[in-house]
Amino acid sequence: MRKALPHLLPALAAILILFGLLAGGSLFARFVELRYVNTLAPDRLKQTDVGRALQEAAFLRPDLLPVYGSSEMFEEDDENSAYRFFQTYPTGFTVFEVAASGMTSLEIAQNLAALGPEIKGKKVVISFTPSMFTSTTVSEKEYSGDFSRLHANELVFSPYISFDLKQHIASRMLDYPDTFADDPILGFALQNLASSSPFNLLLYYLSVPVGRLQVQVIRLQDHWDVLNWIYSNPQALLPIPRKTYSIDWKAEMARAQKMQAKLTSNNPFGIENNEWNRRPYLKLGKNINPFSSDKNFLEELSNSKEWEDFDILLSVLKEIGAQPLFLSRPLNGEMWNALGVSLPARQVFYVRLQATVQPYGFPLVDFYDQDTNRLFSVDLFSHTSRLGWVYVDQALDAFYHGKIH
Amino acid sequence: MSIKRWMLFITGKFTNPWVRGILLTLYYLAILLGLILMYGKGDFSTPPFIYQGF
Repeated sequence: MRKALPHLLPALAAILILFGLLAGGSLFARFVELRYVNTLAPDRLKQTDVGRALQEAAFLRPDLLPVYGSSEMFEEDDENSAYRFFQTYPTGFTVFEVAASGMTSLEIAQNLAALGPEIKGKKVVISFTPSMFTSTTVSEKEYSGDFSRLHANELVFSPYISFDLKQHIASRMLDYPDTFADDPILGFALQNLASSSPFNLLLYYLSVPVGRLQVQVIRLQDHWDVLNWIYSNPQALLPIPRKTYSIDWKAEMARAQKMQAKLTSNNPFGIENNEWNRRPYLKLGKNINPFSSDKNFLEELSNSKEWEDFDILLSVLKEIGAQPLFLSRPLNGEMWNALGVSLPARQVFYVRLQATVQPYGFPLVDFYDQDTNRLFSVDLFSHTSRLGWVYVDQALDAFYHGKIH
Repeated sequence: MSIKRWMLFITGKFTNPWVRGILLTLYYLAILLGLILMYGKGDFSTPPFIYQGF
């Protein structure tokens, strides 16, 4: 023992110093992230979507409104897109977007669960389009494109999410086995968590300490990647000058409407002229019976797995105690009409959406009344036009300032 | 001072338990930091996304 101690004590000391260095590094990283998160808000770093550090920093800044969403947040990038419209903090805030193409409710739920108590009582916007609900399921390839190992681990080993909800989420995550094939701890925990046998649950609980340790390691890696990006891109850290002014929403809307009408003058569907000329197949809808596709549409809508995932997302937000706004987009009514999906069939979507959100008591803005406004969306997937963006911006502004609750 | 005398000086110091302890601590710390540098890098990459329309 005497001979062993001269090695054992320095080894323990080295481990303690290492832990101290990592803890100090983590604190330093948080300080730097908090300092630059406003500047990084418009940059849409990949690490924002798959990591946690920048999201956590964004929730700490009172002048940032985090918005989680999908391609509707950036597919049509013009001066009215939220991150550009609010970039000078005209009414005291700007948006911090966490958005990637095809981000599903299940992934947003993992994302927010990863933040846990950090978002308790905080405002957050969940942006989405009806197109999430008009396909039966999300394939593994699509899901894995936005999958974050950190978020998945955070959720599965989270002490802040109820066991029943975690079990429900685990059973959905098991539908995408490729995403945890390279993470044996996560895979083991998911398999056992989703099972109802007491032995499997015991195995899950035994895996929790290792899982929590793994979460800490991935968090440090996340901090490292963010710091690395910040120090490698000093040119991107120049603060954006702020300019406060009162927004004349009527004037903004009139200006956007005029411009959008001009850009989409050669078709009745709100598709931009050059796009309409480039993709003639979109004209095929001309001779379709107005009700001919209702049955297919309603079947797809009814069988969509997204409803289950959307409910998971609502439950996660409820358990965490966040203050979300659910911000949908209208279906592009004119296009759906041309494809044979009638207004009564489309109303089934709006009614079900409202019925799903209502029990949770969260505010929902779905722009139902804009369904037949051909200038709101630019395609079938309800990607937002410059006019649609003014409506969305107005809703974001109202929510931030407490006019929607 | 010749190399031999340097060696004697250093090995003499190494017999001091405090110096030995500090040097061993630094040695182990360097190993741990080296391991972190070699294997600690996170992989946050995702497979290419296939667009579905939302």
